[in-house]
Amino acid sequence: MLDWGFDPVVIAAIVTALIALTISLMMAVLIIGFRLWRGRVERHEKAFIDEWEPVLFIAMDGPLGLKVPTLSRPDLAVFLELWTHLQEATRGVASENLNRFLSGNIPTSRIIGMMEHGGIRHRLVAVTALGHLQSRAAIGPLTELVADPQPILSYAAMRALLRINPSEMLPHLVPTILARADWPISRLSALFRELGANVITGPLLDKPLNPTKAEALRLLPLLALCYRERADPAIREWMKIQNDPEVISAGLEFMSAPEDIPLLMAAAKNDDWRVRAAAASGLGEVGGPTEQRTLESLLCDASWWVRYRAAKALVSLRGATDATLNQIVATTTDNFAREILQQVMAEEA
Amino acid sequence: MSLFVETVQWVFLIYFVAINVGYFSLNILAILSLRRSIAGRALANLPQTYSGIEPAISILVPAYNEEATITTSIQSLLQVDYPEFEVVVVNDGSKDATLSVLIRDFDLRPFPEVFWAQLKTHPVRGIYRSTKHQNLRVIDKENGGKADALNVGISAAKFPLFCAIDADSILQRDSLRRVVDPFLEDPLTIASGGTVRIANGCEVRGGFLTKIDLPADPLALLQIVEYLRAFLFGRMGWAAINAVLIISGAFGVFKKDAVIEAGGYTSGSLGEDMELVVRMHRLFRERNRPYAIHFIADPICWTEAPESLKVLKSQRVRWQRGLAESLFAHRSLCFSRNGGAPGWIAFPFMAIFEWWGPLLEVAGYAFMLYLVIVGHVSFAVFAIFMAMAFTLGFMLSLSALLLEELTFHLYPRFSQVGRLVGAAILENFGFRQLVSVWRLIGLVKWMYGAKASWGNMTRSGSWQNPGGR
Repeated sequence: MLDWGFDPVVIAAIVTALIALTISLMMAVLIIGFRLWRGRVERHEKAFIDEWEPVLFIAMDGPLGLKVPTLSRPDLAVFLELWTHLQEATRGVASENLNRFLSGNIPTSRIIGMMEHGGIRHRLVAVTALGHLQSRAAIGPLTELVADPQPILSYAAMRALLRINPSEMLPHLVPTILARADWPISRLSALFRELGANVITGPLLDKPLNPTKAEALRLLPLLALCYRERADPAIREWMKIQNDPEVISAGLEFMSAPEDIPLLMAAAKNDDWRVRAAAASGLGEVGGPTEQRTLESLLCDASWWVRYRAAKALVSLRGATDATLNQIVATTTDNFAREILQQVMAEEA
Repeated sequence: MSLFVETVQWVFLIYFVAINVGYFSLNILAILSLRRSIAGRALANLPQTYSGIEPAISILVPAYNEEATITTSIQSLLQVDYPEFEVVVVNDGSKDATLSVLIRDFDLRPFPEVFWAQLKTHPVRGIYRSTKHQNLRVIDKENGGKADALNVGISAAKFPLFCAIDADSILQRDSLRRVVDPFLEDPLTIASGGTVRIANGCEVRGGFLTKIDLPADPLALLQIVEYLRAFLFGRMGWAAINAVLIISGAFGVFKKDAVIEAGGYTSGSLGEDMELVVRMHRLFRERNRPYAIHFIADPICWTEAPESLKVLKSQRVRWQRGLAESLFAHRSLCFSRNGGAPGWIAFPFMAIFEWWGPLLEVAGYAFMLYLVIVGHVSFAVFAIFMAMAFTLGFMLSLSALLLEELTFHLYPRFSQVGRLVGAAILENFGFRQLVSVWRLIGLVKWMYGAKASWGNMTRSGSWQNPGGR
């Protein structure tokens, strides 16, 4: 029988168990400690918010004689977070009054200091607050932060700069916006929509378009938010030299004028099904009776998506009537074409 | 004999240390990967608007004999907070009244839709469209299993992304928006999974989770610790190195083209969710194509855990068979030239600790017990080894609880954390060993190739009653 007192494997098991137990106890202490600390912080934050929220509400209405006492860094973060939430919910005079209250009580340099050092949450809060505050003193530090490798921080810095002065900042930021694949295009799109076509059209279109494929795929959804009378001609010119199917199909979404019909007709013969599908949709928007034949031929396409888009296009085609569509159904010899058209007619019914 | 006994003891010791240290390391990896998402919350909490370019999604709901719950499930799915989506229910030849309930409750009408079978499936009997909800379709097909039903749904899906979801999954209103995020942030994303948590003890209204709590049932409580330890933070750790091998069938979003290219779900598979993900890893790596499979840390999908040993056993046996099937089918990924982290780290880890692990664990326990009985090992030595296994298991569970505390903090009351710690201790006294035995049964069944079928999970649905436990 093995004697557990001298056997190395048993000693190893004991040591392992002791180490695991020690780590477990340390983690148990950490859990309890963290929970106690969190409880204390949450209570403190709640009391802080209960005290300051009414003050900020009053400050929205106009100047307030009250001076904010010097806040500790964690309290400053809570204060700025509360202030930011109120800023996000207000517009006009109330927003200006909130800015006046903040700049009158907290030195901008202190918020910039908070942005430059410390935990990411505090830095993010400071960045967002500086954007709302529209402080020109923050432009330099924020511009530096745009180059930060952390996407959350750099994106927040870019957004803050656009809040400070979109017309001035956007031209400088466009190359970075197109290059930074780690900035979600959905957020950029929402941000650009918020800025409006009058702000974004110039910076995005003043220079000739010459993006790489990756940049083009990021740029096109943003161009859709520009003034179409400026975006469409630029895209039209640029499309003439494109040969990547993904880019072409994305660009065809912009082809919505009668003058685009030749381009769309050519795209309907493209080897790539994505391009043909996009062309079918485009023809449905801008085409008329003369484009019907092309769409009918696309109804017989090998790709289901092309057939489906062609059927959708035929149903919405200018001048198309139920009689026209029923005639196509009755006369076509292609079963796929007939079935898809019947399906789309039923969908639209 | 003593050399043999000593060797077995070393194997037993090294195995237990390795599996627990392995998962412990995954938890550490998970903490690191979580830093970013947690930091982003300061901004995420601010009011958000849709960008207008969120990709449209087809939500696929395979249904088999779900007459009791299908209406509630579909009604909640129709209310998810997302700009453009469709719900495609696939009735997989249910023997009960699933289809007639759907026809009645959603006013379905037969629809002359062309079904384009992009994947090989059992025949489709009919396609229906709701007159109440334009974005609801029901496809009635011959019975062919869950994977087959999903393949029909993929073929019928209109949008470039599809979300595979179990009919009984409980979502939050923003679940879809969150799980789609990786597709917006990373163009290489081909799949994104959500964290699945246990709903027992929680309150659910209108199909959505409204209050989080712990279950009174001890078996469900033990599974919460188990989910935290093995499924949740383990997967998050793998996600940090693009090596997630499982996206739960309960809730996951996939790029339709990528799945069709990979051949869709494998009919007859018991672990069709894992099998598909492992296959996609293998194929994309073989073809040297860049891709990413993401995992969302936030709890966005909730599911009911079994509260009876019989059902739990059946579930675990099925899971183990599915896992073994998936890994065996794609064993060429392991240590392959382009295998990367999935082939060189995740696959071997899963093979040793998850696929063959139950055999080693049960054999280890049994052999040690045998040695005690025949007198080759003293009871004291046996007790030391068991204590080692217990403390390692406890350490792992506590690390998961600590991570939960540092991140989501879903159970804020002290009594809740006390119960979870209690469960983390108690699970070592029988539960973990029992699960190992069930998994071993699953392994044996896989080796003898029993036929696959829809999981027969009996659910109590107690969470559907507000305040119900």
